[in-house]
Amino acid sequence: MSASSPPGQSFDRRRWFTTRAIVAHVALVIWVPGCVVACWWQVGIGLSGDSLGWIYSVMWPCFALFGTVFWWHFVHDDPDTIGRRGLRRLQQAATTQPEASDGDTPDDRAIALAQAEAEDPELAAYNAYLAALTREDRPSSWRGR
Amino acid sequence: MEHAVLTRYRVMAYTTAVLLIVLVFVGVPLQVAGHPGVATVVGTLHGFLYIVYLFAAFQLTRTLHIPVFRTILVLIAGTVPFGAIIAERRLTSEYSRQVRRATKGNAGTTPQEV
Repeated sequence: MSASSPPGQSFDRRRWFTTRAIVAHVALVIWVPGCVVACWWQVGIGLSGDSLGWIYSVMWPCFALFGTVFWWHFVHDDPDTIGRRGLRRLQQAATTQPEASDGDTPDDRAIALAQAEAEDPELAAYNAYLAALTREDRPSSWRGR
Repeated sequence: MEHAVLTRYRVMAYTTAVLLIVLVFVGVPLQVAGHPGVATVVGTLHGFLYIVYLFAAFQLTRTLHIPVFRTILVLIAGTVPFGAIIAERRLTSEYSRQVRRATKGNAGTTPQEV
């Protein structure tokens, strides 16, 4: 992914065919039938009289479901945001362009805010703190990318 | 970053770890000796709580941007005796490392540190 595009936005249908994604598809294709087979095996144990088999036959579908969730996130992840390096990249992007998406604020409101902040250093500090918090929260959310 | 995500994971890590240690070091020897009661109850409990552990661990690894291979290790750690405790130590230190880093970055923008 190029550095100019916002993370998550430029992802299109190609994300399903990257090497990463194909590895994930293969893993899922092995994992889910594996869970089905294991579930069937535990149903057999349950039918043979061991009640623990029934419990495990409920758990294996849960593992299959979890594998599917994992696969979905893995395919939709932006590789540039993964790991310590990705986190550092996100933090750098947040500090170099702090209010890039703040386009709809009227100028006079910004001026009034700047005046109020100049008069009240405590307010300025609090606003800077809030800005830092929102900058920090954006990369750490894992759902709405 | 939400602290609740870490707390939820830590609770689940200790719960599954303790249950698995009881299962492996108490339940299984008793089962071999002919008393399967402990193994059945603790095994069932661990099985179901492990699924909760999976979701808590997955959410935390997403929050901390943990790479895939390490994520899988964290998830499997819930099925290895003492594994969840080790994973919990690693992830907690990683969490505090990231918080320290984030607050160090903000120190320039906020004049007064609280």
